[in-house]
Parts: sequence; C-alpha cells; structure tokens
Amino acid sequence: MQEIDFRTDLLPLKDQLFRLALRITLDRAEAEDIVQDTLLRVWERRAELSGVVNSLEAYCLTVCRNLALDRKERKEAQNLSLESGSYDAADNTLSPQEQLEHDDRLRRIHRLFCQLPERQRSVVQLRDIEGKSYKEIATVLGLTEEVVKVTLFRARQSIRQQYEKIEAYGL
Amino acid sequence: MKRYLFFLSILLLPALCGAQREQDFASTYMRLNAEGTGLDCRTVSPVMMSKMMRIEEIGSNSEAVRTLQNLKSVRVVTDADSDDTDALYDKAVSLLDANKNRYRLYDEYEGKSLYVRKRGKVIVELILLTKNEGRLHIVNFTGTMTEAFVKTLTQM
Amino acid sequence: MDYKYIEQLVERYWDAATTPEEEQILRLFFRQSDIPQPLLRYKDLFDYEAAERSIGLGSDFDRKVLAAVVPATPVVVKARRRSWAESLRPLYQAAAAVAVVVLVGIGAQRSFQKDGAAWDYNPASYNDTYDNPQQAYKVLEDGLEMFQRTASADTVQADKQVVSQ
Repeated sequence: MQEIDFRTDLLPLKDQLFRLALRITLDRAEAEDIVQDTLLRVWERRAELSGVVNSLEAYCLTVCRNLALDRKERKEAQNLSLESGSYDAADNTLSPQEQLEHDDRLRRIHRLFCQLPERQRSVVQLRDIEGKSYKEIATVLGLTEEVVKVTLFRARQSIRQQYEKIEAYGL
Repeated sequence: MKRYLFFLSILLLPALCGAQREQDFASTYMRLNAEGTGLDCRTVSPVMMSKMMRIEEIGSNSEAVRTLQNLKSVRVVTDADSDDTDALYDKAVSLLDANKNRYRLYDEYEGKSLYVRKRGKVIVELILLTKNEGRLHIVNFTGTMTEAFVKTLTQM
Repeated sequence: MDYKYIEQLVERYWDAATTPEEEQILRLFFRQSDIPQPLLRYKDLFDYEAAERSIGLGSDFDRKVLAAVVPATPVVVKARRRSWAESLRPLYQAAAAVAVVVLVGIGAQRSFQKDGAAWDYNPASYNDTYDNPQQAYKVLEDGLEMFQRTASADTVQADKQVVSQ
C-alpha cells in the first residue's frame, strides 16, 4: 500500500487544480483558496484513499470542481435575476501583469470562454487545456462519456459561432 | 379595531416570512415570451394533483400514486408553429443559462435536456426541454423529488 | 505540409470528433510562425489555449499550503484540523464542520424534510387549465411520456434511426 506523499503526489497537481477552479469561479483569490482547500481535504483523507482511488489526479479534480461550484453557488445565492441575461460577473481571472500581456483579441476569446455555461466550461478546460480523455473527464464530472462528448460538441460549436462573429466584426 | 388588525398581522407574519413565493420556470418563461406567439401552457395545480389521487383508476395504480406523491404541480408548454421553434427553444436555454445558480443542467439524452432546481438535497423543480420533431416542449414539474425518482421517470 | 489535412482536422475539431492525438497535432501546427492565410484565423484560439495552459500558482502558494500541513503522526490530526480551520473563511467553517461526501457532487449543507418543507412555490400561481381531474391527468401523462427514453435516437444533428432494443 503506497502512502500518499504531500510534496510529491499532491502539490504538483496545484496548477491544473488552480486552472479549473479559476475557470469555474473566475476569481483568482477564490480559486487559490479552493486549491488549498482541495489539497488539504484530500490530504486529510489520505488514509482512506490509498489503494482505493484509481487516479489521485481525477479525485483531486473532482473535489476541486465540487468546492468551486459550491462557492459559486453560495456567492450567487444573493443574486436571483430572472430578467437580465447576465453572465458571470466581473472577471478577476487575469493578474495585472497578464492583463498587460493579453492583447485585445485574446481577451475577447477569453470572455467567450467565460460565457459558456459551467459544465461546458469545465469540459473545455479539461479537454482543450489539460488534454484529458473523455474517460477521465467523465470520471471527474460524474457523467457518462457520451454526455461529455455532447457537452464538448455544444461548447465547441458555441465557441466557433462566437469566434467567427469576433473575426467578422470584432476587428 | 386597530389592535385586532395588529394581532392579525402578527399571526400572518410567519406565513409572509420565507413562505411560498417562488415561481416555476414555465410560468416565468411564459410571462417573458408568450405574448404574440403560439405558445400554450397547460397547468395542473397542487389542488388538482390531490384530486387526481382520488380517481379510482388512478388511486388503485400504485405506480401512479407514487408518482403523484412526489409531484406538486405540472406545466407543459408547447408551441403551435414550427417556424418559431428554434427561437423559442433558444430563449428557454438562455433563460436557464442566465440563472445557473437556480437551475442546473442535470442530464442530456436523445435531444432532451433535463434541468433541476434543488433545495438542499431535495429536487423541488424538474424541467425537461426539447425541440425534437420540430416542436418545442417544456415539461415542468415541481414537488419534492429525489434523484432516484427522476431516474425512474427517464427509464419507464 | 498538407494544409487540406489540417483544415479537415479543424472541421472535425468543431464537431468534437478529434482524438487527443489529433488535437495535439493542431496545437503543434498553430504554434508555428508561418501559417497559411486561410488557417491564420484560428491561430488566436490556439494561442489563447496555450496561454491558459501556462497559468499556475507560484512558490508563495507552496509555502502557504505546506505550512498548513503539519508533519504526519496520527496523534497530530486534531492539531492539523485546527490550523486548517483558522485559514478558512468564516463562510466556510459551517461546511467544514460537516462531513462532505465529495464524490456525490454538490449539495448545500442544509437538509429539508421530504414532507414538503422544501417546496417553496406559490400555490396561488397555479391556475388549472382543466376543471376535471381526468383531463388534468392527461396533461401529467403527456408530460411523463416526454421523459421516457425511446428506441429511436432523435438528436437534431442525426438522422432518425430505428434501433431495435
């Protein structure tokens, strides 16, 4: 039975966990908190996990996503707007330095990604940015591979439509 | 008289505070989109749901009774015109997406999308949205449901 | 380089029909500097994804989180919990106190009795379309029917197929 080591097994996952939490909450500070919570939570349960969980990575991503959604839900519990088509609020994803480096076009694409519904966002994040397989994504999101594929299809179609709009008019 | 009204209003306070005031998705959707369209909404109220239980053919069907016990209301929205279906469908999706904190996508299969609104662990609202066969259908249940119950609906 | 092939890959990419290997090919292709005109429009998208891939947390984070992880001995579990609770936002302390079965997905930490206390809709907002229960029951039946899985696949993009079960 392999013991989980924090430094070598959990800590290296911090970046992809951060990216997923950031994609969901769109807030750097929140995302960082969530990564810390995730790592510590998993660490707390390491005795039960050793030998039971097939992929520590997938498990951590699952915990991370659930924590992120929970936080998002609590935050949004105050704003019940049934009228306006308001998308996820202010974008705190880019640090000041990154904002300088991102030019207009990339910023538009970034906004496009952030406007996808959460599940589509998460699937795109895990597939296009983290390069995970449908099987892995299905495990993390608790869905069937079929639903993952349909979700990815919808997301990519949506990105394509919006993207082509940007290309045509946004210059 | 004043004192009487004062006490009466005190008694009513519990009813007014955090009591039942929510609207389900179909009624909001109709309110926002029905005007000038061929959208039709058929409603079954909680009162009618309990009346239905007392009908003999239904009362003796244990599966029907079990279904009815989980549900408090039904609304079925359809459109008359296949010309508007896409636009009306997209409006439904936008309304759901604009309220991600309230309605969560639960499942998708065969061109049908299922959304739920939960309070704690209880599913209080279940919405099916589809435009299969060129017509918009929104089936909106409210009640006190579990995931197991929802599974039975999709597998019957 | 065969640009037709890349164009085909891009089309399949939009249809979510590419394998991870094919997506990697696309990523590598769009990393180049001399991309032919018709494909240039897609470069931004892949540049964006590449930039996103480089986002991460620095060593500040490492220090913070390692400080919260007390060296492991079974006896020390309590102490670790305390330092964890201290770093949590107040909003989260309630949640931390409750055992969370994380793999089961989201659920707020409230619990409602199944006897209807959770149902918070306005009863007065329901005006029956039909006066008699039999007709009302038909509405319910129609609704229930929509949920059922059928033998034939009915997605918008696929042709209708009859699949025998």
